[in-house]
Amino acid sequence: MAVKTVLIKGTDSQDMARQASEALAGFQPKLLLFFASSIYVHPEAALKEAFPGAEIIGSTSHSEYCNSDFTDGAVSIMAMDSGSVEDVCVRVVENISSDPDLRGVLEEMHGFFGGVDQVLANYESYVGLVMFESSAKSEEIFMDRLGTVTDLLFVGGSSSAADSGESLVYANGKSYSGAAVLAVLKTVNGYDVLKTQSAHILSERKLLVTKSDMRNRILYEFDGRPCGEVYAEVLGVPLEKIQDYFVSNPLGVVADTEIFVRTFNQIQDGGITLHCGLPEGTEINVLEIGNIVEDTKKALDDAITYEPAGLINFNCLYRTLEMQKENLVGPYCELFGRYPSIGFSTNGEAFFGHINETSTVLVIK
Amino acid sequence: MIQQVITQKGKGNLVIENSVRTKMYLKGIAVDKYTAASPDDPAIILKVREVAKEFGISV
Repeated sequence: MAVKTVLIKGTDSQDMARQASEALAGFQPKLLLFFASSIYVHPEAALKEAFPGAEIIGSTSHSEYCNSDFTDGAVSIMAMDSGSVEDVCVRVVENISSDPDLRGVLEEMHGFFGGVDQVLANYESYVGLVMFESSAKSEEIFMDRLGTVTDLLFVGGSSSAADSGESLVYANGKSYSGAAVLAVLKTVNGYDVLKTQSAHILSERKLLVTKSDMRNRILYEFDGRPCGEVYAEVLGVPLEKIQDYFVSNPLGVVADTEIFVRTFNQIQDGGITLHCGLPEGTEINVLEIGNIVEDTKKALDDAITYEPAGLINFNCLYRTLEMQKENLVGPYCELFGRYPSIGFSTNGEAFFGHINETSTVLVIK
Repeated sequence: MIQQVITQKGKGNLVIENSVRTKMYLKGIAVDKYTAASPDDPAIILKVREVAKEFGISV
């Protein structure tokens, strides 16, 4: 078996790691990926002690998915052995809000596998995972820089936390704040990536971002007019009511057939804050949220026409909360119960850029 | 000019060409809005040149 998934609730990190070690007895993971409720103290150190031979990366989580289960207060683990991942290179970029130059890091990662030409010649085997510690709020700029210095595809998400917990990311026995964990996987049988946002174009009218503060994620103007005014006009609702539509009608950058969702936060400083910055010059559409379960089923069924080794689901916390409100968590989890899978409720997802209200799924073949 | 960036950066790999298109959209360049016949927009030309420079290619 090339991939194993386990969901564990421990009395503490040591108990969790002990249970993981028992559940994975006899299995030699090359890479161990985990999403741990932020109630656990230093789960990375306990797991490193239990699995000294594995590369170990992870993130804190608000709530965890594993196969057909959804819970909180747990640790969801995917262990991948050499039957699915031939090799892996892990690097940590700290202080990501300072806009670090990523060229050196990516040169190292390409070099680990024999150089960029070797990697790109075998593009179908190599894929990147990225996990952000979300308090830095720098994901969109980081992803832009990452996409500039490498043609490798990176997918992932941003850490979340339980109500009283601290958001962190983990790599090889250490925890990090304000950092990004990068991992390049050389897969044995390849991979697929799918992205589903259950959001559809409400209006074909394109809105041009003419004034924004990308770094602080504030949107000011569409087409030279206050953005709230134009948004209200598209929806046909009074300006003073627009906040009622922020969750059901987010914005989307439509790149050919792919929609990249940007969700609203709040009205502030004469503009509207978003959960992902928009550069000036971007054209967007107003979206409407659809049925998460139906859209996810279609996305999975269309993309996965084989028996995968495992799925890693970075599912937006907004979507989890929406499904909880609509009693859709069970049907949603049934979809993922068809595969060995883990996931967590993220504070943003990564696929070319930073996105919101989306599920990005890495499928290990 | 936009197509030049995509072609040069993609180096004949269609998957990479498509990913470059997507990255340009996310950088605020509406790729499908412009054709060779589109009137020159100095702001967009400047932006495309900046993106090309970031990618390490000349157009």
